[in-house]
Amino acid sequence: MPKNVTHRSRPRNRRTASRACPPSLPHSGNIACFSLPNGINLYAYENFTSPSVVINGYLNAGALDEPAATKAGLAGFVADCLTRGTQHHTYAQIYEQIEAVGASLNIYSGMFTTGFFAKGLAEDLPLMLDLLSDVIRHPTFPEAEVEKERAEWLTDLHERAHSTRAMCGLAFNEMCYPESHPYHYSTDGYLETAQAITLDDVRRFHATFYAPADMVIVIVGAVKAEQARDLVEARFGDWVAARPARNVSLDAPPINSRRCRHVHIPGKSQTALLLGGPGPSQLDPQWLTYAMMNSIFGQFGMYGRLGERVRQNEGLVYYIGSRFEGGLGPGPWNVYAGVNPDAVDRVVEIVRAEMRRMRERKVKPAELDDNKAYFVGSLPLQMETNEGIAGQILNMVRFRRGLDWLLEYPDRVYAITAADVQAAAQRWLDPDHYVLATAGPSAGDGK
Amino acid sequence: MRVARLGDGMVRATLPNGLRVIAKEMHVAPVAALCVWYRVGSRNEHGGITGISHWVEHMMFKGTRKYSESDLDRLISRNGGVNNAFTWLDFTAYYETLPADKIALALDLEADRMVNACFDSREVARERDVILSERQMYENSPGFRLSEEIQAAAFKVHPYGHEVIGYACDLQAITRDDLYAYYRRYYAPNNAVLAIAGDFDARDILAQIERRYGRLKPAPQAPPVIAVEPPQKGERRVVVRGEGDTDYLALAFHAPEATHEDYMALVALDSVLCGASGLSFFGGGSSNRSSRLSKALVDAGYAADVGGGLVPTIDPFLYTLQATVMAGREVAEVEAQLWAELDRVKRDGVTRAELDKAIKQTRAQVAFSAETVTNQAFWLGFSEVIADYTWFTTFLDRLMRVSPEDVVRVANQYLTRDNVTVGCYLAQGKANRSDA
Repeated sequence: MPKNVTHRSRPRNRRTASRACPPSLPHSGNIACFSLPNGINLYAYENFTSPSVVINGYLNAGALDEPAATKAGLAGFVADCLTRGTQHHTYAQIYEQIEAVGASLNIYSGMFTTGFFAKGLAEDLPLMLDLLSDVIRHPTFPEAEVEKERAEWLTDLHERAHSTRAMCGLAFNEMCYPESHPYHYSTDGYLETAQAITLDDVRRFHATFYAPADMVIVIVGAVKAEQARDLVEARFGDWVAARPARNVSLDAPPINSRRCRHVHIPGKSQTALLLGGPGPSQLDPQWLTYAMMNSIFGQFGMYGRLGERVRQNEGLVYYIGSRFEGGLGPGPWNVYAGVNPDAVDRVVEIVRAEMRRMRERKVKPAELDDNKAYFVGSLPLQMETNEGIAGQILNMVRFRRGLDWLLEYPDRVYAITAADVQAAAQRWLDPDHYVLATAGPSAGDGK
Repeated sequence: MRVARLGDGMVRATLPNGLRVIAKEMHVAPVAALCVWYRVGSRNEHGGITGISHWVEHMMFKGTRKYSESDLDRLISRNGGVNNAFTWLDFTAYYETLPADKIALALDLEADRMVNACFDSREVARERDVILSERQMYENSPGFRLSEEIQAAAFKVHPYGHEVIGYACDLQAITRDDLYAYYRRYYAPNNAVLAIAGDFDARDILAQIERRYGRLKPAPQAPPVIAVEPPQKGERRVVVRGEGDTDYLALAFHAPEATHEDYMALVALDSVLCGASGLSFFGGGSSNRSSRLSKALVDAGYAADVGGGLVPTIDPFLYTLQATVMAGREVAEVEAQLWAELDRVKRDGVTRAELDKAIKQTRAQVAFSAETVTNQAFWLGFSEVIADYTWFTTFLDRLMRVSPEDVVRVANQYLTRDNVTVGCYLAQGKANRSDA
């Protein structure tokens, strides 16, 4: 869906107009925190404006714990197999129970953590926690069920092999990070690894790395905090397990050249493009400044400066933007776009010119002010739902921002200067040294 | 202005110029959402101008004399809001969600572009390339290519037979004057619904709406859509061959319009077969692994996933079942399993417990959708376009009145071999799969 945006006009509203924070923001005074003796941390936020409840959280098991590149995808496969059967429920029973009450339960694994998310009516919170606890603590990984899950995984990987965006992402990460770096590999695995991972691998991974220490559970909705605590304690309080410490270096060497790769996928109409390099983690103290710079460059309104130049002025693309993908680790920064194969060179040329402009010239006060106003003014929209509130609390915890981050947020945003933004651009945007991945039809194939 | 107070914080009004207004007070969060709906979509198009409704939607972001192209998105963003638009079979809709004290901005810019959009020729030329790029993005998906062929085969007469994006040849040929004439014909207060929900006083918001929209002149009544798709008299079948090594299958049955007395029974049937659909305009809903088709196709190893799509529309459209064929399986096997399950419903019926499950799932979805002002504005406006607001507010009650006998009856009536278009996407690389 369609439209463009630019940033030429002067702002009408001054800073003071949008600085007030709504009183309902979650903060240390209204988030109830409980620490269980086994290391699980619960954060409960009461919200009785809707009869729903959300559980969001994670435990510390992820792709970083996979034993070798030949087992890539193992952490994700284990997460997918958790609901395939437990000591107390069959696969069919788990989904029959959760779906019968209109609730959802999802478990997924990333590089650092295995996350979980459940949403339902508040009256069904005990059931949701019953099932969540059971699948995390007591999975049995029945062989026949694991093989069904593997077959679905293989089909997903076959589909991925013909997805321009997915294959572009794989090529980008392979060029961006060396083979010795975990980010070189896909957390979704590969056809070869999906077929090679054994049932023993799955069971061993769960037995070794699933543990309560530093696990985080956020519960938001129409439930008293004390009730949430009692429910969690009853289901997770007696969990005793320990996992080995992690010892992985995630330092990524800088890109000192231009590295380009095209993945030819015939039969497609459009080429996916990624251009960029390694970026920061969200633990970086300058993260908010980096996010501000990125908003100006490739997000604000309809894709920031990139949208203005490449879509609005040139009509070359339907979508283009830029993003920092970093989480707990230094994920990449990149520009993403879908481009006619014959227009790839032209788009790259404009993107590089805009990167130069971002580095060489300070952002004008009006443009910076627009972006600051958006950062602060959009907070209420992000916390309209229990899901949104839970996500904000989880991020405050995960990225060690402190529970008063949202209260401090406007002042932090308004403290960012044009010089800060320029320094951020000079730190992360290099128009001469970058990774460029494309996937899809080749130039000349364009329709 | 005629105003009706509907309870639950809702009011409904009609301005003298024909603009229908539906407003709902929601004091849960300090936000508000405006959604302006025009009764025009691909349903109003014909050969030669397919895609024009969607293209006009793009042009609505190109500015007016009062709000330049730059202003439209920038002002919404800098005031902490989000905005976008979408074009569908029956409508084109524009929305803004903002902090509640900024919603006047959205009211003002939507009133302005309802009648003052510029349609500059150079912008039209650039946007042609953008929309062709959008179409290329869709063409990358086997699902889109299959869907386009199925719709074209299922509809011989009705304009629902082409995709909203339009055909590339028409997108190359449509002119600036075509677009502007289309805009003037369909964009007017008497062809629009304004839905607004959020943290405001309804009386105050109605006064603001009257002040901004009351002076806009109505347009001559838009030409009605007279096409009626004749009953299908036998199975139709389309095959799309393409890249990849994964096959896809879809069964598309002609289904009744949203206001038809059989519609809710089909909603219940879809819930039994595929799980309850979410009541969010942005997708969602719970998983469907305990549904009949998931058990019969996914659990049994025939498909990697399966889903159903029943689209509420003004005219009769399609109920579609689609599946991703599992590695090592053939499309024909999956199709046979699908038909076996449909025959089982027709023969053995559904249980009261299955319907109770569908009702509970829908009750949860209604609660989730009520959390956001944007969803409420969407559903109230959408309902006014296809019927009236009660279509949404009574959705759960009507579902609760569906009996197991109703479900069997509609299954026998609509899910037949004479009423189906079968679509197969056959992947050319399938033979080379190492795990096949």
